[in-house]
Amino acid sequence: MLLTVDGLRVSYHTDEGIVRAVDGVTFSLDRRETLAVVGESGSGKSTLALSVMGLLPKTARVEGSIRFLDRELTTMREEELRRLRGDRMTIVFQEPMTALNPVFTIGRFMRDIYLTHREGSEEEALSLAREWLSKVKVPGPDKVLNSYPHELSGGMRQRVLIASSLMLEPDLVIMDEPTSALDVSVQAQILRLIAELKSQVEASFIFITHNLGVAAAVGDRVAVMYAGRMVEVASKEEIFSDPMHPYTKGLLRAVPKVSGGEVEPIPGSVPSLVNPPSGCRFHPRCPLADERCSEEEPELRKVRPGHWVACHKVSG
Amino acid sequence: MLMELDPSTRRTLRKALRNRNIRVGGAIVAAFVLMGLLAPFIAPYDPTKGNLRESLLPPCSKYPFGTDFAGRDVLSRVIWGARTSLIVSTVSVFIAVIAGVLVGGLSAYVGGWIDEVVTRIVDVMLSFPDILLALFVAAIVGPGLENVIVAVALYNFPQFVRIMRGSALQVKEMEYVEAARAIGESNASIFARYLLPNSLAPIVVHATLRTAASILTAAGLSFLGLGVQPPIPEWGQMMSDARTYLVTAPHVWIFPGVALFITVLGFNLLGDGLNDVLNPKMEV
Amino acid sequence: MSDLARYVIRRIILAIPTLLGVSVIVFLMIHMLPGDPAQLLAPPEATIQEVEMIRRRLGLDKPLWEQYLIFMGNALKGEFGKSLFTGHTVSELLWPAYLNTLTLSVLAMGFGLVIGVLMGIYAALRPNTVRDQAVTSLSLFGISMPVFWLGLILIEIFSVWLRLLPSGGSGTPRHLILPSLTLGLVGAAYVGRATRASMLEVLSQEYVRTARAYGLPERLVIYVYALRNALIPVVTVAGLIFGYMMAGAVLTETVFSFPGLGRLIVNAIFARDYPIVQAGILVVATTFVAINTAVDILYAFINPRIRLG
Repeated sequence: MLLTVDGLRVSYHTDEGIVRAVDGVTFSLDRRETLAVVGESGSGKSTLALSVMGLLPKTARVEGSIRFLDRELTTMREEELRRLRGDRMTIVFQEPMTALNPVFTIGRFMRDIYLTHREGSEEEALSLAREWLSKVKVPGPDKVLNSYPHELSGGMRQRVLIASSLMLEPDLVIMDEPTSALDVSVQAQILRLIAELKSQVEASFIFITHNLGVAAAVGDRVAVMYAGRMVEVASKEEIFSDPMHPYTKGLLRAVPKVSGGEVEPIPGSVPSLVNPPSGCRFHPRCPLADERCSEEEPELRKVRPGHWVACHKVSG
Repeated sequence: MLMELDPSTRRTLRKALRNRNIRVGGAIVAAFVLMGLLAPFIAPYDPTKGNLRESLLPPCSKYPFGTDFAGRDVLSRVIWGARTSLIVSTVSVFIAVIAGVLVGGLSAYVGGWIDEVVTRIVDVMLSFPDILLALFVAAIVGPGLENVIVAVALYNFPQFVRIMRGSALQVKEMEYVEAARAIGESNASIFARYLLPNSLAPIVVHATLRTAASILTAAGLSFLGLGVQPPIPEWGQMMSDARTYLVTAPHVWIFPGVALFITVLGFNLLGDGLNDVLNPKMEV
Repeated sequence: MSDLARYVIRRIILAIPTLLGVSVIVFLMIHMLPGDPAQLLAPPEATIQEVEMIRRRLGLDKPLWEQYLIFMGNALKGEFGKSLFTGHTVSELLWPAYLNTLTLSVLAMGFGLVIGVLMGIYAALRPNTVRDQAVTSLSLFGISMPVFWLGLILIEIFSVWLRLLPSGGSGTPRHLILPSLTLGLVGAAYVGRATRASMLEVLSQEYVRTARAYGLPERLVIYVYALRNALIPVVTVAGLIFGYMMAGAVLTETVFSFPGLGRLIVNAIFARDYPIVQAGILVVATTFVAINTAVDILYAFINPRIRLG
């Protein structure tokens, strides 16, 4: 296993109370595997990404274990963690417009990443950067290396960030809603690019999205998150053919279909992370909920090989 | 009374009362204002009459802050000096706010070449940095209480034009203002109902901060001898007198300096606090 | 022509109407004073004939616009006429004093920038802690401090108690220490506030998180990636502060009996030596406009985004 997350909990103390952004998440990731994590905003999926990267704010409290390359990340010293970041594990954020430093050129940024993690010359850094910019299909890589972020379009900046995240051939790449801030047409291009790159590199991916359709398109497996917990994990085929958790079913009905038909939003809204509902967190919005659901918290359990669900109403 | 206010005003007010800068700054400003208003009642001695035989006495039980070269009680002069600073700063800032709001608001509202000319004039006035504009005016109109007020008001004027113009330009483009104009609301009414209320927060914050700067500038002019003239007690002027006795009688310049420093600090704290609470976009 | 070169030229051209406005106001000074300009510009003991001679020599009998052109023509050559009382030309008095003030302001500015920027970073790295509050309070004290009072306090400490430094005068580098320290401390307070605010803003930006996400060392993140952005607004503030220093020098120079431009102007105001007052004020305002123009240009160099605008 490349990455094993076990019983991860992340909480913050705020004026309103303790926010449990991630509340007991367990999963693992194989080499060259892609896990798509789906959830609405506030489901804890971005917090999960940041905790793996060790980028949580200092006020966050982390419990549980994150093992990466057979090393425990939660207790690792910041300096060691820093050496892993950008080298063995990288992340691409949602907002390419603000993710790049406005006063430095793309070349400067990519060079700094290289020189931070590798012994090498500036020329080697720039030639590797150039090579990767071509791989992510940036037209005119030399010109782009000398460009400032504001001179590039959003899609182009996201390509730059993707190239930066792959340049040092990391073991793990996290993509946190990498296309959500882009125009629809550009989104499709970037998704295609990511699908293509996946086959070219050795890395494993965690792909975070709020769109189940996108998740199924890029993921080998799909994990559905709700209110800080994983409620269903299955292969992308099974998530579509045999969704079991009522929330997953609801999400599927909410995905616009090419064939037309009604889009049904899930009634209700994402619960507060300060005072989450008792029992199963989904029960206030769940059509199947009964008394047990409001009292007892369902565990994520295996219903068949490779398919895990946390729901009292699913037998097996 | 608090109950009659609408909820958002009440929330702002509660936030303001919890803000530490506002509490400390407000307390200092209140003390300063009270000292200025009540000077005739709380000053132990006449600030202008001294006994030359008691010249330059160090602080003692009779004169807690000592006496100056003319044997006048420094404490009484510090208290009366608050009155002078209070008059100069509030009157000059008040004049500058009124003039600045009218000129800046109209300039932005009318637009066109008038706005262009006003902007240029403000740029030119702001090319005289800080005390220099006040000094220039003082050089023309001469020293004296009224003239210092004029000089300091002129020094503040372009700042308020700029702030009012900036926020009026923003409000002018709002849909509800265009709607009001479309249904034929008069210019005066639009000015009073939309432009002014929306600019109030930055004006209030800036007026507080400019009061601090004005107190310093007025004291600076008086320190140079171009401001308030003796025998009217004024902090800057007291320190100027004291330079001659720098070594022998430091109490003569230390106490008015402390008063000046704390007062300015109070207004700056209050201004910072108001800025936090009202959070307008500040233009410096 | 590159965008940058065009921007620089446009910015310089933009300063010209402002400078013209400044010169008009300064020129009009003599006409705004109560009384007859020729009388004002004549030595007090001048006879009526002498006053008339001065009127003709200075062109005060000509129309106002023509007088202005003569004034400007001379000003551009650096000539401002003769001092009414000292027998020197204005230039002879003006330029040495200007040089002194400039030296003082530059020293103070350097001091203020170094201390202020360090203070600002130091506070912004640990917001809302004791050390942040200490820096914030110190800078608020600094901007509330009457500069002449601070000068008196420093004299009391360094000249009277410790007997380390001269309390006034000029001539040696030692004489520059206290005046520039006085001005510099106030400047540091302004710079510190600006740096802290801007650094806090920048540290919350996504690109700082990105830099950390790629494992860049914290020192590179803070002192290069963040600071470079944080200093952009500070540069503008620094331009304004330099103006305040030139103006604040009026007070500081008086405290330290330092023979600079500020003291020259103040003494001239008292002596009603109007040509000196005019020239002095014109020179300070022109310097201020020039510095702000330079700052805007510098701004374009360190902020690539502006060059398009």
